Amino acid sequence: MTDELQNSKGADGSIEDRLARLGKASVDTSSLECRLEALPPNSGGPAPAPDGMGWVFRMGAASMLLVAGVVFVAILMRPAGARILTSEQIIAIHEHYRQHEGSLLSVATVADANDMLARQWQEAPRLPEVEQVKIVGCCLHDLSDCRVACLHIKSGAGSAVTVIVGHSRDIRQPVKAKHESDGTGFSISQVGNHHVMTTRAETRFVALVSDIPLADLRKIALGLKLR
Amino acid sequence: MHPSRHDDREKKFKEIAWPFMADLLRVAILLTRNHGEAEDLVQETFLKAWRAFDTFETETDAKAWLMMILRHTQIDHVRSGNRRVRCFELSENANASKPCEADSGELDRRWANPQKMMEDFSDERLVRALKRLPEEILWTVLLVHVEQLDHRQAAAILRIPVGTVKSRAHRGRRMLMEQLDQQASTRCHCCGVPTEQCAADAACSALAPCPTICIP
Repeated sequence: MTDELQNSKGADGSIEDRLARLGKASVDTSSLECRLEALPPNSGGPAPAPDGMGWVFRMGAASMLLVAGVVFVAILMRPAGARILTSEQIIAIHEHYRQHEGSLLSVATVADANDMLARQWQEAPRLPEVEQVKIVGCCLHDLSDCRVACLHIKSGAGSAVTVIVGHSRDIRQPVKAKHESDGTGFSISQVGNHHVMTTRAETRFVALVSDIPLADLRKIALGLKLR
Repeated sequence: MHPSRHDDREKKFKEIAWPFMADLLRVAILLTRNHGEAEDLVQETFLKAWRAFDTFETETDAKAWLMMILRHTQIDHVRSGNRRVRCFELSENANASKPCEADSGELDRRWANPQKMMEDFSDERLVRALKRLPEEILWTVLLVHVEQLDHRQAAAILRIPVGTVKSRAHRGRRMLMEQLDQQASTRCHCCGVPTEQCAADAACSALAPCPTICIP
């Protein structure tokens, strides 16, 4: 075997090794993951096909549920279709993104966040402007039957706070609302160290959640431009 | 679709497809050299995969399946004009393959210590050299050498015979070697520093002197 041939084989092997190393280079998929997570659950998915006679049973069950639903709504005199987002669910969203800040869409202002979210969800509810906090990022979060927009901020002391906004047609304000000093009605609940404040603003459901003291969370809540 | 069935399908899809997200994104970045464009490509790939997921057989190689969808998606992008045109011209293509046949002896002599030669190249230089490969050869090199798929898998994705994959991979390596060699051997005409090592990295190219630091 000649030297040239040996060199050629060596060069080949070196290129292969170098390319393989390129293939091991880390790639940041956090933004892509967030984009994919933000897609509607059925986007592009195949339409469900009825299988066998199961649809008869399902139609019957659906009819019964519908009747029950109508009676329920008539009794409670509440708008149909809206659900209550529990404090635990709100806290779970907050904690998820606190632990995975990398999966947030990085933005510097609320306006940027609204622009970015509107590109991914045309019907995205408008996130409210908020005073004297640092904007960390935003995201869309899919729950089992509705979707919310989230804004992640840092309080003056650097603690994480999440603002969650949904459509009030999807999410209903809990019954007991405590009125804050500026006349905005907030419902306040506490689970462990977390405080959750929720309100309805125009056609939006707005929630704030954090483990900072309630007084500090109230200050942030009162700084929200909800109108 | 029934919610629980939908959830099961989504869960299964995530288990099977999501582990390869980084691999797909890497290939897409190397193809497009644009992170945003690459993400668009992979997002569309995942949507297509999700739509076709019912036809996916679990014993099938998921990575190869996704790469095949990525390839078709990328072809669609090129055809529909959604993608920027790569800096590659047909004349370059023609010239790139010829000298490596004619001057292979000289090329090999310069590559007497190939390991060191390759170590000297940054990822950016390597990507720049990859970018100059013709599309079909680039795909072969990415699948076989970067993503480490075997020739049979690459052949299935590219829908070409295994022998063609082997010859394209070989040709790709030679062309890459030539591109890198050209980068390493081209010297700035005013300071004599190899453009590869020239500190004015952004300004230097194989065709131009380095105006930032070398103007006498």
